[in-house]
Amino acid sequence: MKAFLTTLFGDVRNCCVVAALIASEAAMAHGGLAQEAAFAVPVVTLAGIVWLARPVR
Amino acid sequence: MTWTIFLPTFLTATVEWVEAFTIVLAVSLTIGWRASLGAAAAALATLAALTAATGGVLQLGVGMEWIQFLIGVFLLLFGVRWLAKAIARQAGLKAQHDEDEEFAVTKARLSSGDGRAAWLIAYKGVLLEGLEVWLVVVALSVGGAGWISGVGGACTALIMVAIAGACLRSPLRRVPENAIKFGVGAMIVSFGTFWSLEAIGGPEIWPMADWSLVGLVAFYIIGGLLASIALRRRILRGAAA
Repeated sequence: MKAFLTTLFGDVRNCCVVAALIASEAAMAHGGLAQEAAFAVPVVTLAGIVWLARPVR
Repeated sequence: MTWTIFLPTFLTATVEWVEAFTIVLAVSLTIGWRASLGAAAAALATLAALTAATGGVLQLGVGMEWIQFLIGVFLLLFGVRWLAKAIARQAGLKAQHDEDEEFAVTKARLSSGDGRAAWLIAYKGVLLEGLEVWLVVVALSVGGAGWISGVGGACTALIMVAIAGACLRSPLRRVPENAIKFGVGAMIVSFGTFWSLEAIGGPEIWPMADWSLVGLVAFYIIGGLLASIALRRRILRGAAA
């Protein structure tokens, strides 16, 4: 079951990054920054991906 | 045929089916080809049922923006992980996936000779690798229009890997797995970013509509490569200090 859930959702760090991304998308889209969101969200996403790529200390 | 759906599905499925084949090959040495192929067929049947059921649920009339949001989140969960691993491998922070090693590890696990356990390992291996293919097929085929392209891409990859595996009867080590994971990871993250933000902010949020996807894919590929170079330099600096 754990392997099944990990396959679908990844580990805790992965889930935290995606939750933060969705939260930032919602904050920008509904916080008067909808036009900037299309440019800012990919940058934030890439930053999250690079953070995940770094080794866990 | 929608090639923008067929291609990423085909490439994702090729990587996953190669990993599944390695497990089935190792198991076949313990319980024979017939039993290990039976386990693989049972796992593939489970995946086919899952795909058919998901397709039915998606046609039930749930609001399109909700489906887009859910699929976008799943694609991000999956794509972010793939791209992060590909960047880490490119930077030398993580070992390249080695099918020979995977084969040796699975074979060692099977050394106890328990036939039922071996069957379960083959079933679980094919099911878990196939789940990632299912995710991509379902996510990219959403709305029904691309269903044939998505399932077609996954099935074509399965047939090709099965034929190559049957001819070689050894772990398939020539697939450039990291390059594929880099490209497909970037594509999946792009679809995930596009759909999740569009579901939250509406279709007008992307300045170039669907063409924004092309820019997103280029951004994630170039950005990912630059990040892997920066990470590698950092490691070298750390080693020199």
